[in-house]
Amino acid sequence: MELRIENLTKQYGSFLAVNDLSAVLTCGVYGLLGANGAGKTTLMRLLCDIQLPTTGTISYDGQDIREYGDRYRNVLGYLPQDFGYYPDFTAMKFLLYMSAIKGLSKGYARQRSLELLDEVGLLQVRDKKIKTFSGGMKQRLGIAQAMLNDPKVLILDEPTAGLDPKERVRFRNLISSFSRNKIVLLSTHIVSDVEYIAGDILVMKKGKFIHEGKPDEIIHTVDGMVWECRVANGEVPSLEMKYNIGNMRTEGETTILRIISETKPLENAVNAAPNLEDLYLYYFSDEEDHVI
Amino acid sequence: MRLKQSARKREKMTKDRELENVLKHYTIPVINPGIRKHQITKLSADIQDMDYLPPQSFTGQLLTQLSFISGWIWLAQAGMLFLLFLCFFRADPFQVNMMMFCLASALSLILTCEMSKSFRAGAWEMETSCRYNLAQIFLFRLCILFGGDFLVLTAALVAYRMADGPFWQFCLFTLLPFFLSSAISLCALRRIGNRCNSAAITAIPLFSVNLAAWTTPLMEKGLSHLGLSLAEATPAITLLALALLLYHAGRLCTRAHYLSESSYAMQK
Ligand SMILES: Nc1ncnc2c1ncn2[C@@H]1O[C@H](COP(=O)(O)OP(=O)(O)O)[C@@H](O)[C@H]1O
Ligand SMILES: [Mg+2]
Repeated sequence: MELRIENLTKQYGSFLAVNDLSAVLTCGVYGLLGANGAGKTTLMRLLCDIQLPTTGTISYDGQDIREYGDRYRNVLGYLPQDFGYYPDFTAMKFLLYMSAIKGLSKGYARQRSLELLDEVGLLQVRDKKIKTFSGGMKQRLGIAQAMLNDPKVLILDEPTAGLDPKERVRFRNLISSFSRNKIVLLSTHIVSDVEYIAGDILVMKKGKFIHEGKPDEIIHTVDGMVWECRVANGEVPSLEMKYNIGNMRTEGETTILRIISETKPLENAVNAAPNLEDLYLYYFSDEEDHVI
Repeated sequence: MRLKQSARKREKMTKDRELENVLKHYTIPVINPGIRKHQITKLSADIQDMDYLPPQSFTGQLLTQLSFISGWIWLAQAGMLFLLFLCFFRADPFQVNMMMFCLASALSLILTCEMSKSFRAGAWEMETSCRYNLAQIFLFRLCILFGGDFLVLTAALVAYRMADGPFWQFCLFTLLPFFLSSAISLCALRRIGNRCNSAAITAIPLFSVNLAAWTTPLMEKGLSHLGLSLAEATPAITLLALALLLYHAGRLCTRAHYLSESSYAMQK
């Protein structure tokens, strides 16, 4: 089972949202990391055949997904980034509706819907109308609908948006247990979402993959560039202008800074072990809207 | 007897040995573990698929979809018919025609609202990625809604004829506005796609149904130049409008990609 992306390009007018991407996805969890506007959603829509690529192909097990048609959609599960529900549907009715258009048999649909509602913690409220749900509940229902048909290719666009920390942990566990023998691609701009569950990380910037590999491998690209140092509180603003700063922690009169820099920023700076967050800052320091 | 048996046994043994000798010249092919694993997973996947992805008939799916159509539209249509039957026989011909025109507007509005609900609710993207994608869902919905409209319009026609209204006027005041405004609305829906919102979707059918009413005098004038009366030409024009509606319905149900792409680069 493999999903092959070849020279994929998507152009809006003169703007390249996805720029000549090639990749082969096999079983496993892939984390697609990138700032807002990097082209993650566009790539995912292309993978789900919601949009046509300008050039390039996507093939599943050697066949173009557009030729595969409904047979590809049979093995596909997708959670869009922005979505809504029919407000007068209950959670259960919505899952039954999605099962119906996914072509699942009635008996299986009931069973599977209840099972998934339980897994995302919505079993108690299954007969409540969706318009009474909170943002997190709607998001969890969205995750449940994507998994209804036990998809071989599961594509989740910012699935953890709106989830609280506890729900995030539950989501990670759900994906880990679900991902055996499947291709799971999840996009996020939140590093901790993918740090634990993604076997591979694809870093996307301006429509291109600038890095791909296992989390601990790609972290090595910033080896020796992460520094920690203690400075007086007054110096912080000028350093902030000059350097790419990660965490900072104030302790009395001094502040401990985590600086990402290719050269040693200060005399008393010492090298620190890098993590994914540093990597993200390294690549996306020039994007104004990064969220960690 | 025993001799015969042992002779046969010996014969078999020599044959076995010959076969063994022949086979010695061949090596057992090694099955690539990757391919083997691939086959096994594929087969087991197929078996799983058979389980819960049964082949489905069009009618079966249509019936399933029927239960997910908003309930209020059936209530509204039944209510309108009831009112129609209640008031029909006490009204004068002008009032009757006005009522028919309102019925046509309402039917077209209901059709457009129900057809556009995927976009308005924001569920269209999820639906597009399913086995029955958005185009097919549109087809199911259109079949169901047209079925309902057919029943309502037939009932209205029966009432109209009972009130001694001529058929061509039924065409002019009911069928023509309904067909025309539904055709325009479906065309707009296809073009607007995911940018569709509730305001547009109420305005378009209401506006286009009025368009049909306003153009009637013009149509009459034009026809008189051709030496035709409205009564003669209306059924044919209605048929044309029906053809237009079916054309746009067909286009809506065969479009593969509904996401609108603005050509302006939204760069910062
Ligand atoms: N339908 C569209 N029409 C025009 N430009 C678009 C459209 N969708 C996305 N874009 C542009 O493509 C770029 C990538 O967007 P997107 O794929 O949503 O990024 P991400 O999901 O990583 O935040 C953005 O600059 C956005 O403005
Ligand atoms: Mg996005």
